[in-house]
Amino acid sequence: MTRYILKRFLISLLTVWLLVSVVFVLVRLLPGDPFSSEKLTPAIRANLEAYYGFDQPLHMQYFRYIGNLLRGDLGFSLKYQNMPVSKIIADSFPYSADLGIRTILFASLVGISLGVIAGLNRGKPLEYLCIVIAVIGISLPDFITGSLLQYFFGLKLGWFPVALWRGFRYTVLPTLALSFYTIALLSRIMRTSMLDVTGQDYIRTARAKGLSTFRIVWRHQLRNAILPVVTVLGPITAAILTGTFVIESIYAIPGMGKFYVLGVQNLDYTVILGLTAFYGIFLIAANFVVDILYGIIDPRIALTGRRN
Amino acid sequence: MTAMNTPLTTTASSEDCLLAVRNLRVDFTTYGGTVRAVRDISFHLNRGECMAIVGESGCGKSVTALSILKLIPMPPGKMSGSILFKGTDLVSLSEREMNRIRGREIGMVFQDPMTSLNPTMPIGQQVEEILAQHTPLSGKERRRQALDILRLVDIPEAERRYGQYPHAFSGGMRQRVLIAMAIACRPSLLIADEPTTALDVTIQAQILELVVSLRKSLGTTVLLITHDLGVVAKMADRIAVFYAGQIVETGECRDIFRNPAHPYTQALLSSIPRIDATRATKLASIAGTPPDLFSPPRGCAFFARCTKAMRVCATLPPPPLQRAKGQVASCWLHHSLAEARQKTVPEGAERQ
Repeated sequence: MTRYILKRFLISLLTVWLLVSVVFVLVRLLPGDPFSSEKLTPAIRANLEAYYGFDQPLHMQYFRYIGNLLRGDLGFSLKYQNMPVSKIIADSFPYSADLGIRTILFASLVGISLGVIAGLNRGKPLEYLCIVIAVIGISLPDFITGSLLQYFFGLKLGWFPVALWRGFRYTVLPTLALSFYTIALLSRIMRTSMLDVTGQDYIRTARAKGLSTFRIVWRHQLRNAILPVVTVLGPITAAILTGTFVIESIYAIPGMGKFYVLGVQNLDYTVILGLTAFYGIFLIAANFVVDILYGIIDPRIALTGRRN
Repeated sequence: MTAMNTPLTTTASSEDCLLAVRNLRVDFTTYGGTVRAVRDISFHLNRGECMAIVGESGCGKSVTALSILKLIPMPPGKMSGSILFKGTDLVSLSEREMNRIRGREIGMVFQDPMTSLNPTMPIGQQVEEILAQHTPLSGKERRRQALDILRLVDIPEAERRYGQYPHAFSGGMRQRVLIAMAIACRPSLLIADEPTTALDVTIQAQILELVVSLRKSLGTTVLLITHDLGVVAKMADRIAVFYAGQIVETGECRDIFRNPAHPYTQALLSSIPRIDATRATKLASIAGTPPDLFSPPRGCAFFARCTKAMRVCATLPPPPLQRAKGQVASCWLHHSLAEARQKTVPEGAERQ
């Protein structure tokens, strides 16, 4: 186990380094620079570039950035005055994390339940209902669901506030909008998985023991059927993360997604790089948690650093 | 005709009779048509005996076993006829009522121990679970009893093994666990559906010995489903030979081995490799394939492969005909008219 964690940690470091390097180069390839939007005299411009070190050759800038990164220094934003990137993260990430956690919990609960219902009602109207929900959820991009929810439940019916983030009532619509795709995805996977497990020999054994249907589903089917769902939780975290960019903009939530999008628009190099590194580390950690979970749910999976 | 139709189920007194299957039919509706998997079979099981159902793959023996516990998927499966267990007709019972029989009154051991245990539940819990369902025992007593049962089926170091998952067990050990589950509630009937097919030969012998010794110590009635005639000879008191969803012959084990009456049984027995055979002897086999159960033949199902077939076999299904005491074969050869003719015509001349 320790060996496994160590191995994963080293691979993760390598991944983050590659990610940061590639983004570093790509961002510099974009036309324009952070100061081009402002009306500056060439002298002030040169001054600014010298101050931030942009007058030095690219590889020097790169080594300096990596050096700072290793010390945990993400630098200052080029756009917001006197604003370290780490402070942007510290201020905005809690909002994104809040929205993300709500979404993951809500979507897993609803998605898995729908999948179980569909799987247990093979060929009945209830299954088709679940499939229809899944197809709609997969087909609709979240900016559409987000806007539609805003329009109907916010504007027309007035049940929930249209935007902002000031309490539970404000969280309902963005969470729903962000959950839709995940619900659809999870319910589809769970349905297939339930059907697959229903046909397994050990379910027949359980039936031969005289267990009630409820007990068979609860004790024998669910834990085995949920494995494929756990596998996609990693990618789903990534999908929700990208979803927050859009949803945070639509609902004016002061989360990290907003800063990321603005950072790219303004070519705020340090913000883009800092947030990318942070997202990267976050995703890697999420996938790691998923792998550990997998080992807990399925006892056949032992986490070792060795190949066999 | 009626007189001839009766004796296939040699009716024992209802006291001795634990299970009586009468005119059981099982059909499966598929996209390709209806498969008639079990076609009107009747047999009975006396208390304490071991009966073996033998036959080749796809002859309906497993479906028969699963039907007794109503474990076939319905739909597409459809059952008719009656299965009297201790006087109750299982066919008409609801799922809830069946669940009081399953595991408690009738235990079942399946063919493939590698896939028949839940991979995400410790084996001890899987044994305990059946006790929780059918007995009022407390958690502590359940654990103690589950451990006792695991020891009874010779799981070494039962305490240590208790919390382990199936993947830590070999095929033979898993089959022992499955047997432990099947006998946990001391059922009066144990159905073993090819319990040794998936195991290698030495383990097969151990598992069979286990079943034999459990049968002795617990007095359980055993219905053994197998295609392995060696297993049958070792364990069974009586045999029912299945072919194409029907019983072609039943009788005492030694009668059938010594004096098989149905050509299929004869062919089956002669296809066992013999240890005293010389190098030159070719291993006998039965030519052809079993009939398609989507559209079973009109006459005798074995007609197309039978070396002794007569004209009547093609058109009329043979009635069950009494041979020696308790031995019944469904074959026209044993009809009084055919027997009379056989005495005058030299053997083998029938076909030409």
